[in-house]
Amino acid sequence: MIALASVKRGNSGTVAALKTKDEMTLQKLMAMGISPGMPILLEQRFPSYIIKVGRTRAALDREMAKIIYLQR
Amino acid sequence: MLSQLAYPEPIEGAIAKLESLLSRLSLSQDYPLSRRSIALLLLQKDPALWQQLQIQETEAEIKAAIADAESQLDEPLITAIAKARQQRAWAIEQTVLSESSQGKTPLAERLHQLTVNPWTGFPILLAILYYGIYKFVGEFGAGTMVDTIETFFETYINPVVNQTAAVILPWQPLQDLIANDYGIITLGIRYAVAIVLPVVATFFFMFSFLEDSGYLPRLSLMLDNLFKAIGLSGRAVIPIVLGLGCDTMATLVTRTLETTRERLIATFLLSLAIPCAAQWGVIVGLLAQKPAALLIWGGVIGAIFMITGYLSARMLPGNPASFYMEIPPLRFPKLQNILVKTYLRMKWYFLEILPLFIWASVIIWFGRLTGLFGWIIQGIEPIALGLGLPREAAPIFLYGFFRRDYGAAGLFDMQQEGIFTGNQLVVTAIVLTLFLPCIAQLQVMLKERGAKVTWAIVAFIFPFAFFVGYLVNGLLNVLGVVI
Repeated sequence: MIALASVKRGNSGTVAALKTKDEMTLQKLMAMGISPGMPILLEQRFPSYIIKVGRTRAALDREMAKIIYLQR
Repeated sequence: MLSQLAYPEPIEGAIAKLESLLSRLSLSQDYPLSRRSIALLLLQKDPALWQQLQIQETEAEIKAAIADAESQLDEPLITAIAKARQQRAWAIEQTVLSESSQGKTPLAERLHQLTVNPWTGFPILLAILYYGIYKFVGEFGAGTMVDTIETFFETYINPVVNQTAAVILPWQPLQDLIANDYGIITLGIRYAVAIVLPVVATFFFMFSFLEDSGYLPRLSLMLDNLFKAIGLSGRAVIPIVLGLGCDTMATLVTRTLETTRERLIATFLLSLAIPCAAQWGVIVGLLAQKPAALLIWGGVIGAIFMITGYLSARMLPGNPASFYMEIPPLRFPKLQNILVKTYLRMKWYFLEILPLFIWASVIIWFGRLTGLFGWIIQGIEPIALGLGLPREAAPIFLYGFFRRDYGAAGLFDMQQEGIFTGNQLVVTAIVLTLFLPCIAQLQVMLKERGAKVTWAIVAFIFPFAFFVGYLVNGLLNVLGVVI
């Protein structure tokens, strides 16, 4: 399991866990479809993280990318 | 009919338990949700539902059932529930959707890559701001269109109104209320229609275009890092850019920001350092012949935006804002949709400002008639002189208290008469830009941020605006800069 913030651009995997105690953050991520079991692809790291989860594309900052863990 | 979605065992167990507990409550027959739905919402700790249901004596049992399910799972309940739903949706999609293997990347996808890649994205961003905002709104809207409509007013409408008023109305003060230098039609309506309307129309047209194309979320993600430095996140890019159109509307839109802290910083920066389209349009129009003046004005306002943002981010308690945003596909906007949106926004804006401009004319008329106006201007004159400005600049600041674009429009009039030097024009433009946007924005701010915060912001802004003007004037003199 590896944090999205440490993944190289272009790599993909499956969302394994969302490591945060903050339920608000959890709900927001899941409302965008970022939930365990979903296929995830890291498209870009700078100036913001851009990911594709399922068919949704989303932008995140580094703090958010540290919360999302994926299984390669 | 689709079969019911089955959740992991601990959750199904809890649902069954909650359903039986809920059956004891006296829910009305036509309650819109099934017991299963209510149970699921309770498990997800929906705060509104907790309040709405009169749970009372069963509360302890309900909480126990939820805690029991929670202890059996190794992840939060909301994650487990969302996961089950997500996987089901994903599975359904797999069975019904077949994808043709695409040979080449679609155009929208390639454009997306260009707009978010740092090497191409930042140049594209600058080009959009330069051509879309500066050239189209600033030069075409505030320059060409304002000149045309203004000339039309001066040539065809004002003389007719003045003559008609002189013939029909027997009393000079009454003539002045409608016509002449400060009349409702010749000043208030002329400012609104000839100076403000074209600028606002072109801005809203461009903003609606960017909105419908899906570019705005990309602008947000490109600028997130920069905005983090001033205590905001990429999410705040949209209200701030909208503020370049109308600060009142933008203050309302700060609602979309996540934390109170972020809303506060955004409101403060909008009030201080983001000129609305009517205002910067007029200022750009005035300073356009002198690139150095435009550069100093832009530099000072930009620096104040960054510095005050940076300092308020350091001084305000609370956590920095986080950023996450869904990125929709880029689309080619439909002209009809853009026109409808532009029209609706202009209507809102125009109905908002026209009464204010008319009131401003009436207040000026009243103030001049009673001599009150003269007194206030005498009070402001020392400040104007202190800033190295001519006496005639004092009324502009008084107009600026009503609306800063009204003040800017006044500045436009005086520039036409050739009263100001380049330096004086820059100093006046800076002070006016830093002023509070307008009464409407003040009202929205009171409603959204509360009285305490609002008056604190107001008490900071006016002295600060004059102070910055004083500094800039001094600095220009010391450095011997003559624009």
